[in-house]
Amino acid sequence: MINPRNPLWRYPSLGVLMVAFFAFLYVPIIVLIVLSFNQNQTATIWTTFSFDWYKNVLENPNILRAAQNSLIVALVATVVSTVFATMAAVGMAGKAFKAQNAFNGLVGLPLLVPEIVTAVASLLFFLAIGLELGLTTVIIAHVVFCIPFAYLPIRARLEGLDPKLLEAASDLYARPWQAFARVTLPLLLPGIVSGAMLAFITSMDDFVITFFVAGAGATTLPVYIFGMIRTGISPEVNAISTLLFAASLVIVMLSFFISQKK
Amino acid sequence: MTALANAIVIDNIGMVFGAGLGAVRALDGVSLEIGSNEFFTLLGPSGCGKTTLLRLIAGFEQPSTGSISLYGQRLEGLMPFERPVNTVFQSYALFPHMSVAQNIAFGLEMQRKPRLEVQKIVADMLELVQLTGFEARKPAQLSGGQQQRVALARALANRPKVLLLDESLSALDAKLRKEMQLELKRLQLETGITFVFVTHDQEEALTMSDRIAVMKNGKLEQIGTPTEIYDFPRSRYVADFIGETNFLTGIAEANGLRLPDSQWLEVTHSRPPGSSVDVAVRPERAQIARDTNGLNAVVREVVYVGTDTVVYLEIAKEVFRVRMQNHGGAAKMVSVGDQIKLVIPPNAVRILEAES
Repeated sequence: MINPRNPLWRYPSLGVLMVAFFAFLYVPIIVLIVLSFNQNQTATIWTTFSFDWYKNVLENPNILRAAQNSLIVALVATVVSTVFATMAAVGMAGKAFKAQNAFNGLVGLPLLVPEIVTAVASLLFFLAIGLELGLTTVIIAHVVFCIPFAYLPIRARLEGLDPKLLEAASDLYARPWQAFARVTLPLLLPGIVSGAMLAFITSMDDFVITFFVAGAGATTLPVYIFGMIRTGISPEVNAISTLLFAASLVIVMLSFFISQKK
Repeated sequence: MTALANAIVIDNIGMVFGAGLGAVRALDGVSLEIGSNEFFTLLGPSGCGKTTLLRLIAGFEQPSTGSISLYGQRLEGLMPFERPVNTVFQSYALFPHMSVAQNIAFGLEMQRKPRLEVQKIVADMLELVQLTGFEARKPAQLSGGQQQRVALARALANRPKVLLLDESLSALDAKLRKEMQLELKRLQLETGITFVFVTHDQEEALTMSDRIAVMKNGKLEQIGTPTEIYDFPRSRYVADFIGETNFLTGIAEANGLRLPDSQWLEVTHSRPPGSSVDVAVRPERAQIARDTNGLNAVVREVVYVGTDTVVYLEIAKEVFRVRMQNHGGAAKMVSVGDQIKLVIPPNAVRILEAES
């Protein structure tokens, strides 16, 4: 552990860098939130406070449709990818084979592959097998890229699990599925929840892959926002973005509290 | 012990981990019988195969060769949840997300015992291990000794035919360990369940066991009651592992041994004259005297250890310890550098088997 009182670990210029870092990170978001309550038509000039743009957003059927699509895609992708990731992590835990590291690498690799590559590949794949682009293709693509996000926290949790606990359960007459339901699953739950949250946020947030594989009726919120930006920055964009940011914040906080509980 | 009263019969068990050049032979032709209601201890240093043997009985591993029977029922192919034995793990392996009561009830619920019966057994078990009032606590809220007792209660609640204990006291501090030793013995007598206890602590083994099996490199070295093991160790290994021992080596002659410094040690033996013989003598069985017949020795060190004084002698270029009770005041008469007589009664000399 580094002792904070140790003068060897003091670098005077780092404080300035840190302030700059936080400024770059959060000032644009704060400006966006403030401007979303701005009455002026021009998004960048402040006049007075109003909820007008939020009202516009909530009354715009296209935005609501996009939001609904995003939610459907994210919910399905989260549930399916979390189930797959849990099965993969649990299945891997019972095995000791040489290729285990390679397997973990393969599961995690999509995190490193440039998203545009996955996007193009997914599009080509759907075209090749003749699947019509639409909500289904978006959901399939999202399930696939959400799996590694869900897998990593679950596997980390599983690695911290004492293997003796499963032996104890078996010794106490639990069959493998009973031991899974009564011991493994409850102990994995915090990992599963944070994996699911991560998958949900990643899915809600995704633009590149969705943009490629979404058909006409399958516009999600990020894709819709991108479409609005092309015709100039409207204050509505600020309002949607603020709503999206608030929703993400709530989910992150929920996930944090759930993982703290156990 | 009659043949019918055997709880466990272990027949020529061999266990090999891995394959090829990296293969490790953990157990090699182990056969033993454990009686019903017996407190049986597997004793040996780490890596001697004692825990592997316990895990084979529990069903966590399958033997490479040989068979294990429990009251006449062959166990091979049975999973741990199909065997009427329960284990107390070294690390206790309590379920951290369950309360004390839920932990103890787990095995009973898995066996689909009626709810009322489960509640009654849990209450009885808490009383047995003196933890009544702790049922709602989580394992993390208990001390090491309390966790240990929950682990015991969780295993005993199922009324197993055999209880397996894997180094179950080693995580406790010395004082608590002493208490739990007596506690375990009490529980074993009260429940009448066969206990198979694994330990590397010889004192623990001597305190609690009806019989002890001393193991070495995956083989049985000696089986016997604590007295037999302590007073009649078969080999240098057993004599050295159990308690304090002095070793002397001499050349066999009729009615005695000739030590390397030409002194004569009287002892009855049946070895051919001229062969080299190892003997063991417990420090408390030898005496120090003056003006009498005995072996010549020089006092090198005198160590006061409370109840006793340990005198380190030099004889035939070897260190020889004599342990004397301080109670009689005999220890006061020796000091470093004294030339004294070492008296070893012939019945205190244990002839050891030649090392294989």
